[in-house]
Amino acid sequence: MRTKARIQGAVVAAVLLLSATSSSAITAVRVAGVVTDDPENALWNKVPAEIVPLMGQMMTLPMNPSPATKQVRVQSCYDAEHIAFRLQWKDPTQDTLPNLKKTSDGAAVQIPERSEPPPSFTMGDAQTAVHILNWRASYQEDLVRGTRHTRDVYPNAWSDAYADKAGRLGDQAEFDERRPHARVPFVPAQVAGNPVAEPRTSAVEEILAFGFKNFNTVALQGASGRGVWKNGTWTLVLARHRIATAPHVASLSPGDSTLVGFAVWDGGRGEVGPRKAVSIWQPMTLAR
Amino acid sequence: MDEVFNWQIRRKMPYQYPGTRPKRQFAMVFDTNKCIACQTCSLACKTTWTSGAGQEYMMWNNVETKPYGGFPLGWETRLLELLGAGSWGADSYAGKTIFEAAPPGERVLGYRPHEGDWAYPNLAEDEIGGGSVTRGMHLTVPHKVYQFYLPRICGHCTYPACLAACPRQAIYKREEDGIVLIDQERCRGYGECIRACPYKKTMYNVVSRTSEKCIGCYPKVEQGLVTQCAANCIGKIRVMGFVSPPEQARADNPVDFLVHVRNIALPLYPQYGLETNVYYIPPIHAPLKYLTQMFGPGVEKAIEAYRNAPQDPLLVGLMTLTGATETIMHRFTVEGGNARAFDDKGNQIADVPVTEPIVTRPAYDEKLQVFRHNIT
Repeated sequence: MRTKARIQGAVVAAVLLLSATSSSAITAVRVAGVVTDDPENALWNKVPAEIVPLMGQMMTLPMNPSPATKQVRVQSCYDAEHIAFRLQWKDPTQDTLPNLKKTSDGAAVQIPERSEPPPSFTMGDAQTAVHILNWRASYQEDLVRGTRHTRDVYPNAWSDAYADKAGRLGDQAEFDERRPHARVPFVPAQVAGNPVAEPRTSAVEEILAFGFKNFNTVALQGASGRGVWKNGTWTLVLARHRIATAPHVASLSPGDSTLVGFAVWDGGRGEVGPRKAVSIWQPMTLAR
Repeated sequence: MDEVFNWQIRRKMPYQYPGTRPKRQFAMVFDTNKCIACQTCSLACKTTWTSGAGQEYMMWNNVETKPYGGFPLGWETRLLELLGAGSWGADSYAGKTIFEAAPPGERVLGYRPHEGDWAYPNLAEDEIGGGSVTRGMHLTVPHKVYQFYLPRICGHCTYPACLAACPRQAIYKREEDGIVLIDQERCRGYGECIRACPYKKTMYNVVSRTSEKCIGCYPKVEQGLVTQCAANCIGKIRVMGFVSPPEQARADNPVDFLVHVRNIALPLYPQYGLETNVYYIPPIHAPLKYLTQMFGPGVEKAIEAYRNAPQDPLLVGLMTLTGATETIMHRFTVEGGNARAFDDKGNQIADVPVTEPIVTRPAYDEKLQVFRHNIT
């Protein structure tokens, strides 16, 4: 049985290898246990890879005619609970915290709620939503650091005092009971509950989009991920629960075929939002 | 793309969204001839609004010295270089607005300031232009050398570039007062507004990772009160109120009077095409050419109107009313030597003598039978 399985495995691998070079179809292979926090894990050595070409976002203003990233190497695997993607792309600099000059490196994967008929690859459309796993190096950095200070980004920045010393995103000094008005937070975006201003629970933000003009942050599929930058290359694993119960999110089961799209941002080049590198839809199958 | 009418450039121009005017338009007038760059306005704004984490460098209100200062550095020269020269025709602005000059793939002609440009708000403060002061130099009119202070806030423009540029439509203009705000829940910190605003009055917060800007002190405006910068101005150079489009100007509305009736208050860099709503009485001793680049073709007449103040009791009366009350002046009158201001309900909110009464005390006090010394 073991020999037969090995032969079968070798045949499958050969077929996959061929298909990897002859088309851009992505095959998610079944593995015993998806590892969601280690992009360099050895399990990825056995997962076939696809090179997906990227182009600058040219569908809406502002456009990105000369994107920093030309292609992304994609792998995918799944187990009983998760489906994971491993992305690798070249980036000469590691940019984790946005400042006044540059933005954060990032990458995203989008899957439509249904692939027939296919929605617009520009983040879905009014009829068909896409669910996006949006990773930013800054989100990951926030998880590691726990808090945010101006001095994280500008070590010599100075302020004599911060009016709100008890704020979640302020200094960690003791709260002064004699100044109850100092409880009022001075970071309006945080008070408003803006996802980009909130402390993070995951390095991956989930977005539900009905086109690029209509998208919101959600937390539906327990998304997680981790990226490692080494010698000019990012290696990133993104994962989510395979089965979905929320509306507009596709469940992915063995044998299913769907479409998947990718986006990459180079923070060192100031890429953010619509200024990104994107792919068109790639067919994807979850091999049984 | 839509076509809108911009009265400051006296013609139609393209804009991202249909042109609608708010019910009332927040506006301010600054008399640059009275500004002493004490920076009290900057302190008032910062203490009130930008004392939080990530806001350390932000000056929603700043006062810079012209010709060489700027916050961020070179904010206008860098854009003017990109925009190129433009001229005022007989009837309207003949050059390109920043919307018309947008490069392919962009909505607005703009640029992102260098990081360090934000770090020197006081560079060139009190530095003169036009030459150097040499030995034996006398004060002449016109002045051989010059400098003036330019206090700046967000223009709460009728056609904001920031609003046009935001891909998220996270910036909006309030219908009730025309104040332009960045929705702090919706903004994702792309920074397109920073690139687009020609006055560079939107700023990135590295802690919230959103962009922030002058909010026109809208909580005060909603209560009928002037902005913090206007209320705290030591020199009483600031009039805050509401400006009407030219055809609806009311002569007894302080801002309309200065902008539309006397034409003494001019917009800053109107050629950008945003119909900015912060107006300036130009400095009367700076070179005309420089001022025309900055405030448009109405400079000479504005300076004339200013010099004519001794013959203009309405103008002098309004200037005396400036800074007399924290309540927004919707209407003013000058009669019988008194200038009075009224709120939007018609209640009187200020009453000042146009000429301060002068009392002369004789040198010898008859009652006490003593000579007066050192009377203060």
